[in-house]
Amino acid sequence: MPWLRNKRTYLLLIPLVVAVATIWVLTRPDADPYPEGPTQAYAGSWATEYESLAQFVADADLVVIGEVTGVVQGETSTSESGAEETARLLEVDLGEVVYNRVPAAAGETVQVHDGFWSDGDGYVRDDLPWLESGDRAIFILQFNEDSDTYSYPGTEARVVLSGETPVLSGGEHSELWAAAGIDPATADEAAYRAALEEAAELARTGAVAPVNTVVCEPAFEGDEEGICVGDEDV
Amino acid sequence: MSEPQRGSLSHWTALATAFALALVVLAAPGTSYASHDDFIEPDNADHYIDRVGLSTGSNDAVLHGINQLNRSDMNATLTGSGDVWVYDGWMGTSGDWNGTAGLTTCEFKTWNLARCDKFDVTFNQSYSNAYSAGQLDSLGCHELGHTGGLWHRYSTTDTDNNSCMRENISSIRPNFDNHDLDVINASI
Repeated sequence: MPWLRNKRTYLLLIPLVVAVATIWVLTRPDADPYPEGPTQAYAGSWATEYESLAQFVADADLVVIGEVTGVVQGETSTSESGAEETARLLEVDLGEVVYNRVPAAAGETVQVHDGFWSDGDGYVRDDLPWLESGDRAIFILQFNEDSDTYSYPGTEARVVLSGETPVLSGGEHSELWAAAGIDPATADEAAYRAALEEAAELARTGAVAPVNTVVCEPAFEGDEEGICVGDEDV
Repeated sequence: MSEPQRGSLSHWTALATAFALALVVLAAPGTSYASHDDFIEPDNADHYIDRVGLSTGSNDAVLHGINQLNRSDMNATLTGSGDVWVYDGWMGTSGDWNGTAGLTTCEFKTWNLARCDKFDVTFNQSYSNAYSAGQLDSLGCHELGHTGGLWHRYSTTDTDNNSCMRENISSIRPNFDNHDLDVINASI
């Protein structure tokens, strides 16, 4: 075919191929809006600074050793920037309940926030890698009354027990667990359990009290100041 | 098979194909989030910051964050637009916002996914509206610090307890320390 030997054909064709590829890359549809692995990290600053593992536990609503039995999509909300974000929820079967301020018991299943999806990306927080079905862990959780779900109150809220050695979220930078005598590099499950039980006992007996974190909410639509009260006073 | 000669049609075709393939490979989904050492770095030293209807406290936090960034070699300014968008709102105390006073994400990465072209910062008024001036400084420094490419510091890596990049907001840590400034300067 003579047109194939015509230089002008290629001079037109080459930019066309490049342009189509570029446009496809920039506007490609996301094949999977809920990817199985995280593709983006987000950085958050924690509002409450805990002084000890006992205080961290005392401020929690539920401390359990449980197993992840599923990952499901939670509610979708719109961020201030306009992005739609869908909560990634773990379904956790409660094995042993170590401490609770809510009526959750062993054998029940609860949902735990563990990152989110937005615009085809999976978002993972700080030092809290996504858990998957089959993972067994210590969970230190706070209850979300509005959605009947639970959230982590800090980086050190999770110890994965599935592998040979327990893996503490925040690992090498542990402050609360380290102060309770845990060396994340060497501690075994029994050591974590002992430290957790000691902290829970201090919380149960009232020797260590929850933190009364001040939270605010608007009193009326358009209220910029809001009314602020301690979360333990509500 | 003979190799295409430089300047020939097949040479240009090969180049165009390689370019297109490279784009496709780079566009493939994959893990690109930061390591424990640093957050994704800004695409350049110029940092144009947009404030989207901020409350007085959030605005103060941003201004302090800008001052801190400008202690480094960055040029953070309210003149211009497009590098950092700062929002605030009643984000509540539930879900991912439970216990979270501020949050930073990279909304748009550069073409090669290596750096961030546009950051989003959101302050949670559900916590920050109760903050003192010192805590707001710490919050602004912390979140704007992420947009400078900084990750978190810990008691193990901030032994003198003077970096706003610690995970928790505290009025005793309103500023970057010298290590933070060195990390920013090394990345831009």
